[in-house]
Amino acid sequence: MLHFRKVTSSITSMLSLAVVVIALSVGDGALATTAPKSGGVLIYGRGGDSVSLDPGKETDGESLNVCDNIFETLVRFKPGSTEIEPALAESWEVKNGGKEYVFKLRSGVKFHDGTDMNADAVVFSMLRQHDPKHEAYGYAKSWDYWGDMGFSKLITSVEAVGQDRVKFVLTHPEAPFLANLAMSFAAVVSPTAVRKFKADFAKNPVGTGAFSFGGWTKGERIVLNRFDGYWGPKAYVQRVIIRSIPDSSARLNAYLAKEIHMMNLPTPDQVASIKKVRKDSQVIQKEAMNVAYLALNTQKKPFDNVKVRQAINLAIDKKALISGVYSGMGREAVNPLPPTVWGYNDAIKPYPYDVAKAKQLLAEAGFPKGFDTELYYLPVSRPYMPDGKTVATAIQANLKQVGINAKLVTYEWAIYLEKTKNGEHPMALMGWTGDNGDPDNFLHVLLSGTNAVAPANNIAFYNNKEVTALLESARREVDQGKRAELYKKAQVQIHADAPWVPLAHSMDLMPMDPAVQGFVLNPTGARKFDTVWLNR
Amino acid sequence: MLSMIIKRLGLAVPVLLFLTLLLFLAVKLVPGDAALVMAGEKASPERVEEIRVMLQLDQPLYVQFGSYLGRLVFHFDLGNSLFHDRPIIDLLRTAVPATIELGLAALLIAIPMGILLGVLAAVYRNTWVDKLATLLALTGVSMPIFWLALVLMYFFSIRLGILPTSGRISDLILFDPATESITRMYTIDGLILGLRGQGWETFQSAAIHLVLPALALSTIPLAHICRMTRSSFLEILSQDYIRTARAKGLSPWIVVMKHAFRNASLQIVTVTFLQAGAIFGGAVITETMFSWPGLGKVLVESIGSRDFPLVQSGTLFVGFVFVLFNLIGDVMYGILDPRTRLKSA
Repeated sequence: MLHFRKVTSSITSMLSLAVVVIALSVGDGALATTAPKSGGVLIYGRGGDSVSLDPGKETDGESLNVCDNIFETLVRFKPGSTEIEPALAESWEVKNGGKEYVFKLRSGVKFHDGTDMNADAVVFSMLRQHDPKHEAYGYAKSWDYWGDMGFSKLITSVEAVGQDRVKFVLTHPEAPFLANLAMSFAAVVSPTAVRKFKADFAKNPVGTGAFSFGGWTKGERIVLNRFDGYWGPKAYVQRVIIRSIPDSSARLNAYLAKEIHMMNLPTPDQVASIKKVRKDSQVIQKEAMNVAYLALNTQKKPFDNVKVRQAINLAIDKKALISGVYSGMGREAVNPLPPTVWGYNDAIKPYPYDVAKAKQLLAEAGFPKGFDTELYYLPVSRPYMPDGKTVATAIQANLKQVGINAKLVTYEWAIYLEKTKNGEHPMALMGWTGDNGDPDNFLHVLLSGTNAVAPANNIAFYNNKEVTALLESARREVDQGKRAELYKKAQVQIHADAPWVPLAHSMDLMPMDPAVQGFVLNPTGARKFDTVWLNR
Repeated sequence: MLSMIIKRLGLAVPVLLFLTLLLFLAVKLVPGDAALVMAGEKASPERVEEIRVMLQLDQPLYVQFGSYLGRLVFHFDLGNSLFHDRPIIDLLRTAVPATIELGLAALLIAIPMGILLGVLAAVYRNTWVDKLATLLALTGVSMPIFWLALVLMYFFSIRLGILPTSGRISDLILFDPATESITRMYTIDGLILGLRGQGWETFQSAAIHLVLPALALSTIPLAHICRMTRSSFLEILSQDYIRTARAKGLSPWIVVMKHAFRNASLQIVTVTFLQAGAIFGGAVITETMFSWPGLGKVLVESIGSRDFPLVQSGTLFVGFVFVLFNLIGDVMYGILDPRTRLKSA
């Protein structure tokens, strides 16, 4: 057994139990921007344990956040953005009108087990999720993301071209394909390790990332060790310990007691107390890639009338909502897209909070005295909406001012999803967290006419032919500049048609010990530790 | 004696069967489509259907219950966790020792302290000693554990910095229970490592991590044991044979410890085993607050992740533990009080 860095120790006796106490303190260095230093142990505290560490199998953040440090993909998101950059692939060519992608692989890349990362390994990693006849297909109950991102239908074949090239053939051109390949599930895994561990690969992950897997005690911690054979810039810290502390107050206490360097998912209130109690803390923040919205069911009266929908947009005081419910840790949404996603249309001005104008539009629509309706609200707390009921109550009060009496309605989460997907609601609160940083992942999924069929993700059941056509052509266009234009155009029309009241984009917050340097929050929510160093 | 045990066991079987049925129905009565919940917001309808078939949700209820009971009774198969994708028995194998370790530590505080306070309260009835013990007991029962946990963490970890807030062992001691643990109870493992001459760090770290959760968990049993000890001692101390013992000129403490204790212990044992049953069934709040990966935490998380088989089988296991401890309590009662043995014979 290995022991290192025992900081202080003292002996105390408590009741009849004599116990020895090792008071543990993690770095107290002052905030300084000197050159990065190597070494040390970074302790990261989070709310839940991983389910498994096979990136193809899992869809939850706590699993994928660990996988992202162990595995790499052909292309990746630049740190802090959703732009694509080369990773295991050095370069790529798009051929045959966007139906063929050929990736040239980086040479000399090794897996943590010492085997070579090559074209066969890439093909193996993809086909294990794709081809039911593949030797490793049966090692997972299902390959959820592969299916959810449409890969099972999109991909015709994946094949090696020599040792250093891999060719993907698609059934049709689909521009978000490249961004999808940067998602965790498309990670390249060591075929040798998969063959050795079979389904238990999920507990013994082997990839090419800057950290290798160093052990997992379920419900307690995962250990990652720096991989010294990494092809790129090596990680600074020697080891990362990922602690799971489910109770958020206990996690806060662990941070305040300096047992962890970083605390994942604090509430705005907790950030306030961190700033009071540990004044030396750094708290970094970034807009998360999500959106919270009020969907107006365009198939139901009176929400089929565009004037009613615009009136509701004018009647809701979003600023008060952000400062109240989000404690300021959110940003007013104007478009369905978060501003961190490319293709966001800055030119669109938000509907102002204007009660008089709202009343006027309602009168024009034939409802001078307003009407009675129902407002569905989320029964659970989600990253994009911490408290559905408070949001609903505020909106209810806003609507009352223009004569709309909204009865608040909610159901158990599963039923809520079922009912909203089936369009039983007149108005419903909902939200979405982006997967791949592609505008398609918001606009097409949530507002395309093709997704307005129950059970629908487009719960406004918004079906504008022009918008749908724009979104479809943006899917097939390969040039990103042209795609951005198409999305900007679609947003203008969506804004005018007002199928939603876009409410807020929440903030991702990370309180950190002053010793922690070089950590970047990513819009995708990924937590990567290769750039982190400890200033001790 | 044996016939009594068999009789009690016989009674436990229908209780457990009924519990199995009740849990099965309770899980089925939970509103919402389990398959949809499992598949998540972003799943395709085909995937939802696949899960439905896998969970046998497409079968009639009696078929589902029959196959569940069959696997349970004939194969000791608690089923598979949907969320963790592995046998529930595996999850219990790691969680149960953690719960036992914490529970034993809590009882190690609660039993001696509870009895001591109870005896003192009875002997010094209506004095400040009695009032203090009563106050402590009342506080112990009525204080919410999550609040107590936070206060303990704040005081001992943040203010004094002498005890860790949560977890079972320091992050800096690279103790890998998967390969190094023998008992999965870290203090005991640490003790073994220490005795083998491999250093005491594991034991030290495991022991200090045990203090706060054990303290928080001990409050309720301590209070119950204290109150029960006090009332049974008060009853016994007024009996004729105690007066006789006193009249013989025995010292007051010999009267209490030797003559009163054995008779008073009957009820203390009963209440202790009831409390132990509850503790070993997983201390839900304490374990969650202190990130203690025991049975209680597993159960809470299974509810959060809507892992229906785990909720069902995990709760059944807790019920089983509770019934078991009641049974042991009954047997202990029989051993301590010959009259119950005679009656049952």
